[in-house]
Amino acid sequence: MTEYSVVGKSIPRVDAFAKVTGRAKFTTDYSFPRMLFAKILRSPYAHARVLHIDSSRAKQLPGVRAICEGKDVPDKLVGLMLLDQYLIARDVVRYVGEPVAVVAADSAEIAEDALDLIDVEYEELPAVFDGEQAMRQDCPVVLHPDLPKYKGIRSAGSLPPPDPDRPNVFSTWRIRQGDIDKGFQEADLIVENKYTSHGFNHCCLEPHVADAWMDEEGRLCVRASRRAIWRLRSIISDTFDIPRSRVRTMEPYVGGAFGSKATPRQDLIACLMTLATGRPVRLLLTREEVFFDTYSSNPTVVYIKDGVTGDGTLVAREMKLILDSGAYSQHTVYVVRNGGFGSVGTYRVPNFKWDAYGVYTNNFLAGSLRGFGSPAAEFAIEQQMDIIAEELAMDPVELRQKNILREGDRNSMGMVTHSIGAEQCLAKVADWIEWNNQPKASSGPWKIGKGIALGNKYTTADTTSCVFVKVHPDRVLEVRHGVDPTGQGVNTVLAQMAAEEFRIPVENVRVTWGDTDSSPYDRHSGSSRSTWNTGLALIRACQDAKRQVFAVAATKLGVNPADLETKDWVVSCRGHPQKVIPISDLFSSLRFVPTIAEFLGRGEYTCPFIPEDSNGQSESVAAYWSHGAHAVEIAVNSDTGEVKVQRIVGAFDMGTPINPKMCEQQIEGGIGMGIGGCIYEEFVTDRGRVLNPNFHDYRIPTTTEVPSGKNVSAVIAYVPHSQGPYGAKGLGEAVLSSVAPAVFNAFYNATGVRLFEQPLTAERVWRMLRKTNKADTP
Amino acid sequence: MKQMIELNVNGVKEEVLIEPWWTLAEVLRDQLNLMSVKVGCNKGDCGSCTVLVNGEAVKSCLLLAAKANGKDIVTVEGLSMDDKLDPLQEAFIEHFAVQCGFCTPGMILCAKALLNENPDPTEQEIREALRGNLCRCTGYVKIIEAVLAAKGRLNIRSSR
Amino acid sequence: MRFELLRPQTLTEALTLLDKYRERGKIIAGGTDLLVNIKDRLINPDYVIDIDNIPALSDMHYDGEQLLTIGAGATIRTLERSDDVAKKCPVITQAAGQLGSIAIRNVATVGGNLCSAIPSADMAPALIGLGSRVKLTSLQQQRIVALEDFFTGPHTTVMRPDELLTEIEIPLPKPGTKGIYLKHAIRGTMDCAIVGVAVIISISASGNNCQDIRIVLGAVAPTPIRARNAEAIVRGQDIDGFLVNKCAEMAAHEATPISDARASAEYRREMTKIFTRQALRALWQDMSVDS
Repeated sequence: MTEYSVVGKSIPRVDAFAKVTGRAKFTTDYSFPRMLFAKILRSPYAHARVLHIDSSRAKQLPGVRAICEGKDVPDKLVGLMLLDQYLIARDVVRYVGEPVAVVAADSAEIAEDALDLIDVEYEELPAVFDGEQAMRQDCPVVLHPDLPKYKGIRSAGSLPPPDPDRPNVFSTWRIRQGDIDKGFQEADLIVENKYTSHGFNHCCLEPHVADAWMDEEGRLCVRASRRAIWRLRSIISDTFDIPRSRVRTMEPYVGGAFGSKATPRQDLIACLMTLATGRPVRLLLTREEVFFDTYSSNPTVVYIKDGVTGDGTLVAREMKLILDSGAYSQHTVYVVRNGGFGSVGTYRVPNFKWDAYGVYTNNFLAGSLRGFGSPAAEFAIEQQMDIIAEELAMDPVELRQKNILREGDRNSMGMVTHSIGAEQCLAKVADWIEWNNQPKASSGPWKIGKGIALGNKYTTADTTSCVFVKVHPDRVLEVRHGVDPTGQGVNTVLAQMAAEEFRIPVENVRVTWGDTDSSPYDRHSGSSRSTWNTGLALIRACQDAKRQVFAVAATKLGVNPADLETKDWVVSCRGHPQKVIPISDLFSSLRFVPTIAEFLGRGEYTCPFIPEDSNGQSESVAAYWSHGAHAVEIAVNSDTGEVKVQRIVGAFDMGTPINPKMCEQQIEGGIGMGIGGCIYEEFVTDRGRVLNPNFHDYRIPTTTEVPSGKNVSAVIAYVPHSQGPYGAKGLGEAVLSSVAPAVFNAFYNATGVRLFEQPLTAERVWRMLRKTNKADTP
Repeated sequence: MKQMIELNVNGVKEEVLIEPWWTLAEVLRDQLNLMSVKVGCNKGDCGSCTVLVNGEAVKSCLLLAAKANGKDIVTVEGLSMDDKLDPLQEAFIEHFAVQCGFCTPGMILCAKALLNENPDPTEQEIREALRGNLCRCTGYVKIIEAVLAAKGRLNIRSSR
Repeated sequence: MRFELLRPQTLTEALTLLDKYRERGKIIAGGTDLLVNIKDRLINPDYVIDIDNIPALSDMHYDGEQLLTIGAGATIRTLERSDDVAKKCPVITQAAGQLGSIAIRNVATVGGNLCSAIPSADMAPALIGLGSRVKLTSLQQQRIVALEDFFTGPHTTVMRPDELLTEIEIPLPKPGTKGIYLKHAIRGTMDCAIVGVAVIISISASGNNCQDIRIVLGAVAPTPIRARNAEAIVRGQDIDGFLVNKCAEMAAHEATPISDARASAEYRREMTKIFTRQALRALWQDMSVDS
């Protein structure tokens, strides 16, 4: 293990002081004089024709400055990959909550009053709420009859030609390796099941918000709680036909993302209202609106068929995934494809067949959430492994060990495995939970059980990052990046790497971000990519800056720049201890002789990417995979159906941990979110209407639902990646996938009942246990 | 009809002209620019807007500002006068109890109210006391650790 | 959210305002329910009458050894922390500790919890179980109503628009009386009860004969209800496991729950049985240990 001076150390987060003192600014902590507030009138129907809108009464209301309807928005469809949605619905609404009109007024109260004065006449249409039903050829409801005419924003292979047999399917993807039929013929045991994952919400504590205004140059500006300012700028530019450079997008600290806050909805509507009024406009979603009008994870059905030989070797796996995207495609085009990466990331499977479909329904909008399709796939795979182990009378840990991908193995989509700590992680969690000891005896209605599962998450390759590094004369190294500080700690990670490159204290590094006027291009913080991609760009930017510094220093010292190095703001020459010069002395002096005023390093990194072939195979489609495992001990109340997590451990490989404590933060956060998603959280809907869009009845875990102290552990497996920055990989998403299957495996261990559908809410568990008990009683 | 109220905010008397329906959260943020008061749900469920009113934790989105007239209010800005951090703030930094930071001010103040009342809470008591403050980033593990650590520091300070 | 806020300093002043504005006015105590309802646009009062400044409303005192009188404006946290309450009616302490987060309990009042008349109101079952009465005051008159008869449906009570709930009278339980409040909620205090069960029982000093019992169910009917048939099963009887089960089943039978976003009627009914049984068992065990 290489020793670094800053990298690998748990230095306090660079944003922590600002955050504990309340000084860290989020979007709504800024404001504008004469700012207007926008509110959205929303469809009460899951599917309806909009016959008539009359906003004349609302326009009379004092303080109302503009009202926009579908007819007032640019006559073009918008979207992330597939352009399938009008900014405000025209003619047809396809989910409960779809915008039909937007009011901008002097206050939020006036805007809300105005909504009550807009009369809309609808003709309700039949609706479909089940993804599998929507996928059928004979589905009576076709949400987008014009789908064959829709255009894609880029030429990714996952936008298929229209399929007349599946009129609601907007996206498909497939992977093929080996000979699946032969594989099943070789198998001694075939296990086939259906698994269902529900859609759950990111529940970022900061609600979605966007402020738009025109600046003094007449440029359209947006500051928002979101990710991906560069992509947003392009989308705004395209939507409103404004040149790129006439749009400025900004992002301050962001109060959580977890895969959300990437669609441009709020931002575009705020822009629309600013263009209509010429005034600053804030569109701040209520918590309720966040639940039904942003997007949650995709409700996903997974059919899986596994073939194993008698000694527990996986020989064939066939999977079919159906992802419900709600009424529009948004992120789901990516999620459809990327669930495949999660499906192949842990085990060696020589014969592999995988198909996934993105389907329109009239449900709440769905898309990416921490794992992009991986969690639903791994929820199925990791329960299958336990079922197979039981059938073969093998220990579930042993069965997994036998099939884990090893260094150098080619996985089922053709990529060579490198930096895999899965086996190590599995051993660590098994050890912590005392896997070989029986769980504590049950007491009364509480049944105790243990479960284990592996997890993985890839990082997509086809992206670019840029970083600027500016050397200031007063011992400040400024890092400018273009990704998103959503709480994951990217500023600290980049500061540590920059300090390491320049061999200076981390306190000398200042990190700025989030403004297309000054930050360099980056894709976004997504796909757990910032540490790797932005990190590698940062290292190149530092090298570039040092090259500039050394060039000047070499002249002044009369040496070869290749012999120079720097530490603590002094440049020195190897082998010539007397040849030293402080960096501050390299800047131009005050004698009006323009020598050097700026050292600005620029670094760019694009991950090698080879698009998949028609069988979903590629040598380089993911940058890497991160792996890990969870082991858990739960208690199930057979009277009430309550499930409580008593002890849990997560162990993960992230290459070199740049900041180990921050890696623990991710692992513990994944545990909290995982427990919420698979036990407590569930949308309750009635014909597409969300009945619990609030933190009261949509139950995310509080302090008492997640173990603390000695009952929880976050473990780091050190498996450096040869290509990563200091050997590091990303971690943000991997930490989620294996919580749910570990809990479900523990549930089986506790009760003897295997459940295939998330979440384990008390009433569902109670119902399932009662059904099973009845079936058992002759 | 607007009315004048007087709040003693972080030790400073503030006279504010308010609308009767304004909540304390709105007044602290929009009138007094105390932006540490975060509004995550506006319905009293998430705890991000927690402030201390006469030493007790209160969700400021559900308290009419008029009802706080004449009372002592503490926000996180008031815990760290002259850059001297409260032991809770120090512990939140050192124990990595902060991620996105949106719940942090409310969480710290809720913990502050607990330690005011019970200087030596157990881990379980901390869990119970903080359950009205939601956090989505941390899984609460390091937050609870930080409160346990801060309690030690407070006790050392007070025994000196 | 827009209204005039009126801040009377005396009870008479408050009642005069209430009499004047009737349906156009709403009382605010803590406001933790009222403000949510206004923000959700479920109600839209022109006048909100704040009773914070009327000191008499947050009084708590004993009338002899028989009666504990609590001002309607007492916060839930005050009840939870009161040593007197803990000593004399621990079941109230227990119920208070189950209502929302501490930051909510610091503001929410006992009168407000009752007047909101949510079927799951955590304070109602225990107070009914103790035979509490509420004092309803208007300019014209003062009347005392058994809390059991106070609720008429979800969000409705026997209160007239000009009346204010001013006091809650709790007859102090006789020695040998025990009580318990169990709340079934997924995240404990943070959630509304799926079912809340209060059981108050007096058992003969000699053994396990149940001299009197009240079983009150919350969240499983349009109002909190007494499970009278269930009570009858054990009243006057020597308690045993068989009777406990029978009683719990009867309580579930007496519940008339609805299905909503929180739970189905079927689940609520079953949980009524489970938690009534658990409450009876806990009390019974407690009694056996005592004697």
